[in-house]
Amino acid sequence: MNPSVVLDIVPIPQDDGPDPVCSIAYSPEFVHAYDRFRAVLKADERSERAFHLTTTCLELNPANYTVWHFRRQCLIALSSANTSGRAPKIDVERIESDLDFADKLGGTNPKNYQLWYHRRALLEIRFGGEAGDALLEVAKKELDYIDRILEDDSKNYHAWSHRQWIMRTLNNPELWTSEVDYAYSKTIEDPRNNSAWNQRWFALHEGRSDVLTLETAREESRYALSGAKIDPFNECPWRYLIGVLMEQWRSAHKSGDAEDIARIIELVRENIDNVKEMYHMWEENPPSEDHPISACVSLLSALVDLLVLFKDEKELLAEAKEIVKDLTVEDPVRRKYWRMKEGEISKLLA
Amino acid sequence: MNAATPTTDNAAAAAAAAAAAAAAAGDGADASGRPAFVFPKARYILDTESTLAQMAAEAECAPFFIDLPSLPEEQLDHLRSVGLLPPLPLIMLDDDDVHEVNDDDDDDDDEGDKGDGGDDINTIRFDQPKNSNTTTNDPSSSNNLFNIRLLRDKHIAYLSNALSNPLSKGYVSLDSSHPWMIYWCLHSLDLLGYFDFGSSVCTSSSRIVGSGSRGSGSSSSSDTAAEAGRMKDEASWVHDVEILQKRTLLQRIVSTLQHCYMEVPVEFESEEVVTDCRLRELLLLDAQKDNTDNAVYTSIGGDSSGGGGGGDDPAQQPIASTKKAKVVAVIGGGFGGGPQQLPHVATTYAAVLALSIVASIGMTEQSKSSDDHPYHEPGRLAMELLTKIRLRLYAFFLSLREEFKNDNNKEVEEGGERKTAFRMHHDGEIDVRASYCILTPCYLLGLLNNVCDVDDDDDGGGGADESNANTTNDYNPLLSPTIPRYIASCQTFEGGFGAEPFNEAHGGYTFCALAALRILNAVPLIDVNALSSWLARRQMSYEGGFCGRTNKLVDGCYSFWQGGAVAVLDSWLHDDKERSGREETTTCSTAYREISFDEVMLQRYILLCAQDVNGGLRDKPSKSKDFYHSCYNLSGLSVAQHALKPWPSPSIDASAIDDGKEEKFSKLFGDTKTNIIGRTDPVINIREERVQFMRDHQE
Repeated sequence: MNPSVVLDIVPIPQDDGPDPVCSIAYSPEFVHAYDRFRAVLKADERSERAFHLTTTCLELNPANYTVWHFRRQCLIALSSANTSGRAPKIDVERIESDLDFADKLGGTNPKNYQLWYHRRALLEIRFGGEAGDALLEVAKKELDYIDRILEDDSKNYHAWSHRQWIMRTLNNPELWTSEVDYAYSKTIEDPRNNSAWNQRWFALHEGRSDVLTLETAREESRYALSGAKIDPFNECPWRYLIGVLMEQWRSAHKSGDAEDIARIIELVRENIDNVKEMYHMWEENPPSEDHPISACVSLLSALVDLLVLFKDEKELLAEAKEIVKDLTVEDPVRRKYWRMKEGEISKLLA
Repeated sequence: MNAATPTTDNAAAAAAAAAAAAAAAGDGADASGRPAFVFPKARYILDTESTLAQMAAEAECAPFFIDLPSLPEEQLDHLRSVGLLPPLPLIMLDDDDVHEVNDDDDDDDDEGDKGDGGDDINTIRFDQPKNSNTTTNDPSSSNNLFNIRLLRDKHIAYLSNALSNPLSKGYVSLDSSHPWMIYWCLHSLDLLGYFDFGSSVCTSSSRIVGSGSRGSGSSSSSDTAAEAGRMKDEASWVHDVEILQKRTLLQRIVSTLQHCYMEVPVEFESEEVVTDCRLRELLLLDAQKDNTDNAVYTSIGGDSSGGGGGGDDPAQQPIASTKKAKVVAVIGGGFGGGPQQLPHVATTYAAVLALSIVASIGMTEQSKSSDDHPYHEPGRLAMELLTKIRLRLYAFFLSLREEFKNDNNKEVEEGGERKTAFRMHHDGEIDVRASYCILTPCYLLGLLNNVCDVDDDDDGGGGADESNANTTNDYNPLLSPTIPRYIASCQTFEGGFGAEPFNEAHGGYTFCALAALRILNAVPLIDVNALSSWLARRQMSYEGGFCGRTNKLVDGCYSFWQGGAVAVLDSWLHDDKERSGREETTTCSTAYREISFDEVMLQRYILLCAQDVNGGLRDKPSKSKDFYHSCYNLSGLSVAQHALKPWPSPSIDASAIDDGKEEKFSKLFGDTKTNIIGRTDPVINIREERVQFMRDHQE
């Protein structure tokens, strides 16, 4: 028990009514700490001792968002930085030490919303107080922290999400560029790390809904196919490829610009040819003895997605239909989905 | 029930038993004689962290998929004793029956539904009395000795015990999730038919009576009339005790949730309050409360706005002053993670769902009239609480809105589309869960229309008739197009949805996004093709269950997050075709096409890999059971078992006329007679009757 948890406050017991369901047999120290927390919360006592009490309470249960919220209010109240301004401020030292606190509470693989939101809330304030290189320094430090977490769990959803928030908030050209490299470094560690592929998409779009330039899209389609070559059974590069091409396709058709449309049609055809070429190559030299390329669902379904874009070209549609028929057998767990697709293509062919 | 079946629920025992049951099997061929496919394991060329994890997951599932009839008899006996397999058909001890069985038997037949182990029947010693076969007189189950069963009674014991008895201190990590625990357990129990009176879903009570009479050796071979009479009394004894326990449990649930409810002041711009009848109503209520507190206007009734008072109705004052003030405070409310915790939308969602279940259980007219329904009182209390707080919830929800001007929150003069998201709580995170957790309670409580449903009597005169007074057209900010726009912007290039725009596509967020859009009737905002393709890809080729993200592992909870999303999307696609096809016709006669994922494979995963033989369900065999996974495995099982339907499903009266209450099922895996559970509403995730009840009681 933290010695600074003072005793002169009247504890407030938990009021869960008579005979509650799902009640928990709390430890005595849990009851002791939380009875006092309820008291300081009710009194709205934003003091140093209340702050320390939240530390104890969070060590007992780091998922209590009420305690985290009150802790932040204490931090704001206790900060000398709050002079007059409207936006709440917290002293830099307090922010830094609280980031450490959250880090320690989370251990090597933090997976609770409250810990990550606490970082975000504190950093929002921290970022607001800095500019230029100093701001970039603060952000990079946090990116390093996230990197440490991703070392341990390369798909930690909260960590990637937090990373994206930092990138969006800073919106710094240098960071956007380096983030593409970072995503690449995580991809080569494990080409099946879909979070890393997703991060590449995010970084190249700089967190905006603007579509990529056609030139970038062309490069990215090559990037995807290079990734696919390492292991065509990996879903990530194929969906990345489809994502890149579909975005261009949709945007061109939405604008209705004939030249744009012609250019994207060309790019898609190019990719269809490339995919088929890869397929034939693997047909002759199977990528693996156990798995014939005819069983490469990821490749084939991506190819279908590209072929059916050409709704007026019977030849391409017929080709897609044949593949889909095969997939009904090769990919039995999805056979109903493939039959549905087959029906859709048949309708286009009719 | 809980008292009758004490559970020895500790992780170590569970793990040991699970390991023993790792012999559990089933060859993947389903009960309906579907052609056998080869369901391949994941393919890869390059070993990576992901592929190694995937191989491990497949390896831990593989023992559960072995061919059952090939198992040694001791292992089959074990599976029978834990309840995963039906007991041997004792009725066949008669010579004739044994013959019949043997006639059918192909010794080398490896289909789960055919091989009946006839050989073994001759060698098995049946110590049990013949008359105990009352519990196993189901002819179909006697033909299906290898049909895996849902361990209904064990799950019920695990879940009802969790609700009733204190949880160990290890559960403190869930101390801010009390309404969640209640919802997970209550909804699971409801799916399992725990509160039903012998309707379509099996009740546990009937079988508890059965097992009680079978278990007691003293009841032996005596079948005199007197004995039968005694048994009947015993049966109704047990029945009455159970009903009382369940009623008490429901009452305790309402009381516990009530203690998690907390009110907080929230602020609105005055213009918003003026154009929103619900906020106006709250302001009136607050004014009355203040006045009553000050004992000035004691004449005002507690139920609704100014009871026909004259022109000096004090309730009129706050609105007048509203027009001057810039910011107006009203009292909002919501459910926190536990008593004295701040309101949170996720726990509010869970609490409203749980209260809706209780209200519907207690107030739906079943075979009896509602007054003497044994659960009427808790049902009434739940409904009363919901009715009392619904506008407070509404105000709380609105106070959590966050407006985004455009990407990166930068100012753009034109073309920047505004989006509205919600926080999970004040000073809390913003993501697409919040949109769903807010819209669902609002849907159940009738807070999503423009037509005002509160008594908003501006004239103060009580002359206007009900329908008139209730149809003030007011702006409802929850119907703003900016809300679905935010949700749609969380769809990724893969087709699924992330927590926030550009976050990786993920099953949980995808469900939240799609269900929220379905409630708002805004599904066309998204790329439906990309979504349906992403959802299809999430079902694991070998395991049959779903994973949460691309190249992640199977997990029983995604049975619902992904499986439920497929159900929502499939039924929307169908309804959409209906709408665009023949707008004139009002019947929904077109046969619903079957759900687009492999429902048999999903059921197989849940029943074989996700069940803990001691009760409760889990992520995968190497993980321990918990309430969350129990809830979402069972919800996913429900989605996989029941045929698609339009959404919202027609009101109770209409559906009864429509198809004579005949429930339609998908293809089923395992013991079809014992495994059927209630039908969950795939958008809301409480049983569809519960949703229908809430919708029918909005007016």
